[in-house]
Amino acid sequence: MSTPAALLTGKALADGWDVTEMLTRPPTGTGGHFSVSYKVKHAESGKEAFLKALDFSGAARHADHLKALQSMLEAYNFERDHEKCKTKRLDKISTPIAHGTISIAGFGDYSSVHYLIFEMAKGGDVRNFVSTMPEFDLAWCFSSLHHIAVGLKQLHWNGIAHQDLKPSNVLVMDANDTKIGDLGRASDQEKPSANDNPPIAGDLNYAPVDLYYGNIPIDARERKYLTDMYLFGSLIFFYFANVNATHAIVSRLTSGQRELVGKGSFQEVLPYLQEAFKSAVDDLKVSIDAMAPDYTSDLIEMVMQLCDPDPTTRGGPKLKKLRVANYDFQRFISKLDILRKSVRNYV
Amino acid sequence: MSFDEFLHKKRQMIPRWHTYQVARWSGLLDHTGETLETEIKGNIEEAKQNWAEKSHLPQASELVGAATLQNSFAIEEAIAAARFILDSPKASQLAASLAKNYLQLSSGTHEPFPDIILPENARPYWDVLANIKKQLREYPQNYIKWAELSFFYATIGQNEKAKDAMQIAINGNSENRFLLLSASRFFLHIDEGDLSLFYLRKAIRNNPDPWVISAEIAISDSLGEDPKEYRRGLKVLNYENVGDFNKSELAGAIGTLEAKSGEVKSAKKFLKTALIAPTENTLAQAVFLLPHLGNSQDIKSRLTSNKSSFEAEAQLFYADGKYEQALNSIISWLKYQPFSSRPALHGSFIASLALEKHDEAIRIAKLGLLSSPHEFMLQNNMAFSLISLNRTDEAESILNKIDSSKLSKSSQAVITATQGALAFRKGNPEAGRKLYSSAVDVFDSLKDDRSKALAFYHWSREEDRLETPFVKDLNDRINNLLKKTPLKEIELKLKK
Repeated sequence: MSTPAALLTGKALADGWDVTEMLTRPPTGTGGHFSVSYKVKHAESGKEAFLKALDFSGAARHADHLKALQSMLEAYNFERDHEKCKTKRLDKISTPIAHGTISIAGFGDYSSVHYLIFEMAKGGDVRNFVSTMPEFDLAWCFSSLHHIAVGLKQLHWNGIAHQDLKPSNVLVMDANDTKIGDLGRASDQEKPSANDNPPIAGDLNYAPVDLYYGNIPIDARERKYLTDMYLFGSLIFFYFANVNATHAIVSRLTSGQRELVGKGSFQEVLPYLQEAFKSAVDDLKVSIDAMAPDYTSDLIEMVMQLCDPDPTTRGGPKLKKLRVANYDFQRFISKLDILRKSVRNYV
Repeated sequence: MSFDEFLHKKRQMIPRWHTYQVARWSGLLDHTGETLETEIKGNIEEAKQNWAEKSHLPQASELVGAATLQNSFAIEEAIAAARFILDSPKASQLAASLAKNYLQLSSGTHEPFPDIILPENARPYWDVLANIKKQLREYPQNYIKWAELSFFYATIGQNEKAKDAMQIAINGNSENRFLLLSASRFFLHIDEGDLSLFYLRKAIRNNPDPWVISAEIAISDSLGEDPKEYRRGLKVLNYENVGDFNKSELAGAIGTLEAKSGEVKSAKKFLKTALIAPTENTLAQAVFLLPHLGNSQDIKSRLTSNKSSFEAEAQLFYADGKYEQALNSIISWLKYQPFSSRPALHGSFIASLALEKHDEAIRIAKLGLLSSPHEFMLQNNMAFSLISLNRTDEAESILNKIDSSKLSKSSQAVITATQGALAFRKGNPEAGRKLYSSAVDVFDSLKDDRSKALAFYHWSREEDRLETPFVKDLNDRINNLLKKTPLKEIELKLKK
């Protein structure tokens, strides 16, 4: 069944934007993403941009209709209204350049389609970019990861935890620029929202396992930043092996061990996660060795610090000796900067 | 210890100490509930849609990973995605392993029993230890690896180093079942059972895990203490949400206590519960308790369903006089629990006495001496087999190293008897007779007819070899003893 958000092709929007092409098909089934993406073109300037239309009718397909609706509204409003992202020059975060509402007749209460317009990511999200790369490009990988680390630093510096960093939220603006997108699950320490409270605000497929447990002695805000740190490390897994860290770790448990997750105490399951993590990192090492043997030890060292299943040791012991928060990204930014420059010189 | 006391020594439901791979395989690390549903409810629908829209490696691994996370192994799209990954030359090792794992689970194939190689000397163990130490340098928070380090140190008899490693493991995490069971078994192995109980009892206060309670009951009993968790154990056995496999060792431990106190009816009841979905340890315990339970057919039929019930198999084959099969099972049992001296004691005894395969007996004794270099009975068995092969100098050197002063009277008599055999082979039958006679006197004073019969039997073998007239008298004495104490291995040989 069609939804109003799926019927925007050919429509003229306010501020001179025309919807030219649907980029993602509307979601099917009871789950799925509740938004449809389009390419839009400005009638006067000819500039192309990316439009995200929220499909509120998708909430009706959700088991908890109201909760889904509330979550969608929160996400939409956060991205639309977030002043910090607009004023603080967060140049590695994709923020909306326009927003509005269009009415599609014939859908009753759901006739209004709310949309956000973003700069066009020419390379799409990083999954698409990586799949279509003719050959592995190490310089691009380091540069892209560097941009993401800078983006996270910018967010954290402004008191915002992204909480849902994953390949589909990493946008390749062009070959030289990567940005973090979708702040719909973000949490701002100065602006309370529904995203502050759920133990797992982001995608469960990517979330670190510790988030299933409440009894971990870390400040709640710090834990959100440490989650971003894990999710960033997970992107290194993705860039070099096309698998995310959580899948790589949890798939190494037996079915019965997986069933332990979320039950009992975190300490009961932690040793299994640590063993699985080390084993996954050993496999990742093989992949990196095949593609970038000169950089294996640097990358593995970063991953070991970023993705440690135990959030109390995540971030690395060296950082803890300094008077810098262990979720501080500066160290990784500097490292990636050195790596990307060394690859360029090497090439 | 008499010649074969280890065969009759009281067995307890002490937890096994496994490598992590074997523990994973055996299912003892799994959740105690009945179902395999995970708490993780990731968005498989979105992953399916992404895969349907763009069938590339990232989308494929995302879908396979999402399905694995939820233990959903019948999703057709995920199966197709896993095949796609395996067919792709660009797939990383991580992605391929994710896909292989998914296809294996979706086909319902059980993970094969980990391939364990039994090294003939300590060298391969040193290689394993070096590799574990390298892993720990890279990631010292991996407490499972510290427990493994301890396991392999214990396997080559380096108990001090094994203890250091185990202390790091259990102090790093004293809530995890694998670490708790490994540590409690190890501390008992080095005669520090009080430490085992300390960690077990502390953990039970927070989490009444049936496996941990079972260990507390069995270890308390083996130390001669009253188990503190007996009542809690009874309660946990009634929990409906605890699976039968997870109750097995607890029911076995309680059943053993009941049998020990002569409560045969109650013991049978608990063993019945223990055998619904038995662990290999439960099966071995049940076999040990067979004489108290009557019919063993039920237990025998369950052996086929548990391919790693090596100890139980060995005991049953031995009881049936199938010594070759018993020896094969013992070798597997030794691979499974290489730090334990028990399988090597059984194996060297059967190989030398029942099968007269002295080379094999020497090999097995050597394997056991890797982990238990001071186990006098292994040294004795090895010396005896060397003597039987006329390698008297080697045997003498081993016997000279045994410090008899610390041994019991009975154990000293065993050594005296072996020295008798040595004297015979070295061409001094008079000295041999004196030594055998002295050993027999000790066994006589201890009313140990089995050991007496065995001493006479070995003495008779030496007289027979020299074709002396004493053979008949010795055999008559043996036959008289066998009327009181059956000893199948000897009876068959005497008939021949």
